[in-house]
Amino acid sequence: MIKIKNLYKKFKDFEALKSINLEINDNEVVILKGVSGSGKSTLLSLIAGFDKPTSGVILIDNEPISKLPDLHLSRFRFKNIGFVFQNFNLIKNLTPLDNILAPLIPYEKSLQKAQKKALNALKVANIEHKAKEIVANLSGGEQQRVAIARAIINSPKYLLFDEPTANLDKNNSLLFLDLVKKLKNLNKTIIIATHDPIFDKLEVEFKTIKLEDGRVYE
Amino acid sequence: MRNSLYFYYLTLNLFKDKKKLISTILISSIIIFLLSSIFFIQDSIKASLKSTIKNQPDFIIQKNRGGRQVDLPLDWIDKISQIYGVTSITPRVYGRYYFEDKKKWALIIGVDFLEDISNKELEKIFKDINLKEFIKGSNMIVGSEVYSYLKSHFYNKDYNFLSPNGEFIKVKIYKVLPKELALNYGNVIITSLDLAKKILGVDEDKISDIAINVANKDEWANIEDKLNALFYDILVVSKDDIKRAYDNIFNFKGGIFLSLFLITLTTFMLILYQRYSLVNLDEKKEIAILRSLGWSVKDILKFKLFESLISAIFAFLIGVLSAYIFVFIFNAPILKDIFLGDSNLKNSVIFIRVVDFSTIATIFILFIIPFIASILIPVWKIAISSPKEALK
Ligand SMILES: Nc1ncnc2c1ncn2[C@@H]1O[C@H](COP(=O)(O)OP(=O)(O)O)[C@@H](O)[C@H]1O
Ligand SMILES: [Mg+2]
Repeated sequence: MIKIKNLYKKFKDFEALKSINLEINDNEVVILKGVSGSGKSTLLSLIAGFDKPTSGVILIDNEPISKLPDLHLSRFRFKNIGFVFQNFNLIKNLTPLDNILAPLIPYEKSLQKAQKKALNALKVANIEHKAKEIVANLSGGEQQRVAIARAIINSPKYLLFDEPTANLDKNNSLLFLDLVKKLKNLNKTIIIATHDPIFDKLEVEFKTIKLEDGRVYE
Repeated sequence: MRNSLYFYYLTLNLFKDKKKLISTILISSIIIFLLSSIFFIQDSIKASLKSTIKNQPDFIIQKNRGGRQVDLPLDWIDKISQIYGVTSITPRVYGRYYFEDKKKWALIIGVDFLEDISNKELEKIFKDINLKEFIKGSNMIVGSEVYSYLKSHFYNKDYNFLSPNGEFIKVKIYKVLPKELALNYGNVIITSLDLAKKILGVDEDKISDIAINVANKDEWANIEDKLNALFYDILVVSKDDIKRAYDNIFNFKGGIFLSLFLITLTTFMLILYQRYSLVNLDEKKEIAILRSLGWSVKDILKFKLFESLISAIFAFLIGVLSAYIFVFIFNAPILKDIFLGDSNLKNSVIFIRVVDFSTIATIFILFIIPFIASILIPVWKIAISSPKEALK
């Protein structure tokens, strides 16, 4: 469960997030809506612990993520949070298989075990057939599925997506909606930041949170 | 296998960007090659000089007139032999001989084989020579530099020396000294004492100087006093004086080595600075990606440390090995000219093989610290910044 209390984020004089109070339950799907510049990415990156809030707290399963020291935070992130970036952020000259091994390096010793986990994740994300090609040669939709596989390789409870359909055509966007359904059925808690109306077609129960000028309108 | 995943990912990363790997190893190994070559040559020359000094007699007695060295009478030997504590006395005859074109010269050393030979290096040389035969005939042992000069003028077997009183003296080349001795004996000609006197025009009852050895070092000052009391126009040169003179020359050359070394080091820093201060965008992004996937700052630093250590060790091995081959097998062409530039024997010097573990360790430390630092510092800077910023 994620609890956000009185959260502020300032960039110099600019207040990107103002007085955010939120609760996200386990296995919930949340669509974080809002126009470009409303603060969606900022909020996601605070939840993932990429950045520290100016004030307020974020509790994930009662861990104050914004206050953890680096080592602790990194371990927590590895165990609990999968993040899929808008531009996927894959290492382009490696294969999908080698890409999604990356999170495991500091934690797993056996190459065999790691590769088994990786192949499994690729299967869930429907991209195992491209496991050994070079990422740079894959299409946008395929690259996104690799990024999703990497995010779920360690079976985290929370999955965060930033504008997941921004780089996809309609067909791939619909495939992504199917994948969200599949992930919810795997008991994930999912937060999707987007301004794409296609999410109205999502076939699972979801909650919408609207952001405007850094404030929440539920 | 334990840690097989880590090792797999490490090699994957090393070979992912082959251009970067090759350029890093290439630049580093060139620097190490230069550094090691300089150090190897320096160590080798130092060792040669050290053995020269070790083989010097304890005292050399010369006669001076008007500040110039002149020959001294043979009967001084008897007087010196009365001094208690002197273990060996060797009369020496030597002098420069200028060849016809006056550009080249050789140091002729006359040796009295009936006396003890005070120079241990020479002693080694004479071990496998039939001394009686050598002294009887008109023979000489020549240094490698002298030999190549003679050969280039078609004197393959003997040479006609012209003595100061206009007489030609034909002397047979009995033996050529090995090139390994060239630093000290490259332009030396060794003959019997009498032959040297004839070639150099030294009177029958005179010699150039006297070398003496003293058993007990505590007696040195005492014996020096006695010598000075015995003769009024005497110059006593002790082994310590010679050592000081060599040290002076070497310190001067050491200065040149040092500046060469500093130039190399600065270049090295500049190259590394250029290479890593602009840690390229891909690397920056990769670090941020790994951070976002749950790598801690420590995980990143450890991984990059291993990665750079592997390429550093590779470069180090390549650099040191090629410097060894360059200096000790190919005899350091080009670099040798810088080290022995003003010497008249640079073509026949062979560097004796001295490799000191502490030298290797010094090179390693001088290289590895700036190398690793130049990688880890920028990596650390990126790692501690928010991955969100680097991923834009
Ligand atoms: N690092 C930053 N420095 C300054 N301003 C920023 C920074 N990151 C985001 N902003 C600003 O905060 C606001 C919200 O940005 P963002 O969260 O990216 O919006 P969204 O993802 O909803 O488009 C924007 O006005 C943006 O310019
Ligand atoms: Mg955004």
